[in-house]
Amino acid sequence: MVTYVKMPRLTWTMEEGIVGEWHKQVGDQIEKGDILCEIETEKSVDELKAPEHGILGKIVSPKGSIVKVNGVIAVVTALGEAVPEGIPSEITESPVESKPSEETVKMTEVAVSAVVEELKVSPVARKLAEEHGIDLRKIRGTGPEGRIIKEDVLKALEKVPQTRTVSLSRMREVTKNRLSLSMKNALPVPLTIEVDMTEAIRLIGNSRAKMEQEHNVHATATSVLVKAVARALEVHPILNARFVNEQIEMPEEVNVGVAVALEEGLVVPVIHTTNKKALAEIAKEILDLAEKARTGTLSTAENSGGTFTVSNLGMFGIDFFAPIINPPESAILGVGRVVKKPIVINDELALRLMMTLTLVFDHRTMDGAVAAKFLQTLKEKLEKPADLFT
Amino acid sequence: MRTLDFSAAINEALRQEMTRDENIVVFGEDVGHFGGLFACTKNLQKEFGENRVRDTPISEGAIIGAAVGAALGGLRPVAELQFIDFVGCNGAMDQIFNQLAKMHYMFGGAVKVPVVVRAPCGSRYPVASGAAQHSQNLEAWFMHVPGLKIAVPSTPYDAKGLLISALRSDDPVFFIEHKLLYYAQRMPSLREKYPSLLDDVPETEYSIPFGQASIRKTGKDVSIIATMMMVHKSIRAAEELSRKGIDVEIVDPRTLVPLDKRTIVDSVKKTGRAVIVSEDCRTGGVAAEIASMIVEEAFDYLDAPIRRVSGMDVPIPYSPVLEGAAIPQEEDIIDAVRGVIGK
Repeated sequence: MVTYVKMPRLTWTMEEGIVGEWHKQVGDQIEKGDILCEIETEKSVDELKAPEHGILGKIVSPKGSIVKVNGVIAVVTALGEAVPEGIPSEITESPVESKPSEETVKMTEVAVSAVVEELKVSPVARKLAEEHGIDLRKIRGTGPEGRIIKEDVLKALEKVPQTRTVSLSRMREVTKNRLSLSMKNALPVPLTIEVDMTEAIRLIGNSRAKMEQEHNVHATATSVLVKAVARALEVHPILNARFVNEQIEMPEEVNVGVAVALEEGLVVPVIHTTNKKALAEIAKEILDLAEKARTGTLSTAENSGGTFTVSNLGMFGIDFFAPIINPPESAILGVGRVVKKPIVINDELALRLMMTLTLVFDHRTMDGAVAAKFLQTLKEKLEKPADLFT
Repeated sequence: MRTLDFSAAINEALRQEMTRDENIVVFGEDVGHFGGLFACTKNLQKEFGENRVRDTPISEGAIIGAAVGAALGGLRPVAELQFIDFVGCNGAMDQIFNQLAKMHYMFGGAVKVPVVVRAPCGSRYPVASGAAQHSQNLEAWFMHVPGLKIAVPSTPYDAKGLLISALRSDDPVFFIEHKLLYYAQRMPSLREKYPSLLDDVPETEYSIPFGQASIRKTGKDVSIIATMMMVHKSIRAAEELSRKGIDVEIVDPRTLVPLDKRTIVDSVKKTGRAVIVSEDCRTGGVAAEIASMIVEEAFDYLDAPIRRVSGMDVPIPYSPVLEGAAIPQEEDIIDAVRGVIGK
């Protein structure tokens, strides 16, 4: 690496100096800090020290030369390196004094790191910059001697868009673990069906007054759906099964879980023996459980024992979606929004309130045919819903 | 609680321990009849007798050598060198670094040598002048001798507690007393300038463990690590620096061997900057050792190079003014702190 030795600015007002006695000769090996020559100014005689170690390759300004400040007066080379042909007449003040030779230009990474190393950076600042991937060359140092200090890196950091990292809450962790398990082991297959909810919704409206009076609650699409699901599970019990320890368990009870979305995460409170409960009771329980879920007061019993899950994203405008089975259950029903659509009935166009259901079943427990039959049964019950309202 | 000065605190430690343990004996020049050049052993001979408090000939080799021998024989001697500068006289140095420090190891642990060597060090500028052979700080020499513990108290409270620890320890201890600290009680001008020289000292016996530094002042911008008289100069410098908005922390190691590295390193990790203030001369001095240790243990936390504020590498001059110029003063500490901060 070639170093150009320049006439130093010894005082603020100095413009030029006279090169005095040379203490080293061309070919001498020099250490950084060795006295190369004397410099005379109007006021004093000073010693010029070598800025780098190497070999004194060339004396550009012999004794007696008058040289302007920053003018090149000598060239120091590395051992075995040739003195360059074109020597600049002066070097303007900059932190990097040496020009990389052709060889080092090829190794650009080495040259870059050499530049960075010649920057004054405090250890803690350097570490901080490395950790955050900040380019030190872009920072202005405000420490003594222009050193880049911790404060300077911190300021640069403020300007860099930060990625906020949030570690998983316990709830997220649990959800992640359960569903990962499901995806890892289950063989999920989605089936979709459209259901005409016009009649069901009409009945919900009709029954409202009476239900409010008798039971202090009104039926909702969800409660009607849950009851219909419970009834359909009675007809097709394999959908109510659990896959545990490589075996299919057939529980006697039908316990439908209803997914509730909270800010912190997903909870699935369970309505036990859903098939044995009246619509009003189911409606009340759904409200009750949702409230408890929101206040975080669900009991363990209320939170477990489910055999089938219903998850509704219709209120968010979702048309349909395929949820992940809640292990060890064998199926889950994803409910989309109710939307007025034109459909064909008896070769004629009609506007009906349609809802898309997506059943995701576990192929380890059952095959597509029985899952499809379940959906057919469910659809029938929902489209002829009078029985549900008793 | 009462205020004691440095020599009175040392006197009390000796008296209380000598009362408790009849094996403790005191040797030195002028320690008995005169009560010590700096009054540290005042009245001890009156109280404990000539057998236990002995005036020795002017032979440092004899003082230390006899102490080592007495210790091997079962006594617990306190050997005083009148000035640490005299440690080289008559073979005392060999007695300390080759015999006292090493015997326990060379004899396979079969003997213990519980000697406490006490010696005053340092410059008394501006109260008196000592010049080249009466003002030196040589603790670095002894920090370099494995087998010796070294105490460098800066306050009367620390002096009493550390001396009691030293007297109860079976290890050889070099108890170094900066002589300017002795003058606080007697010189109003000195204690006005450095109120930290006086201390409340409990009347009961208490011991301060070796290897436990004291934080004299907490701060967040720069860690000053200072010993002996430099602690008091740093406290004054800190007041001036706080007027400039610089908040320094002052750590007083109190013992050089063992050195409380953790407190020093924790402080530097907090502030990112270290200025080490030690009166001994720069090259190969105490500050050099502490600086190396800090770089080894806290490199990634440094936000500035470590600065040493040390005495000049010169024999202390004869002229009192030049004596003052050869040792660190408050301005030097202030300059160093401002230098590492850059404002």
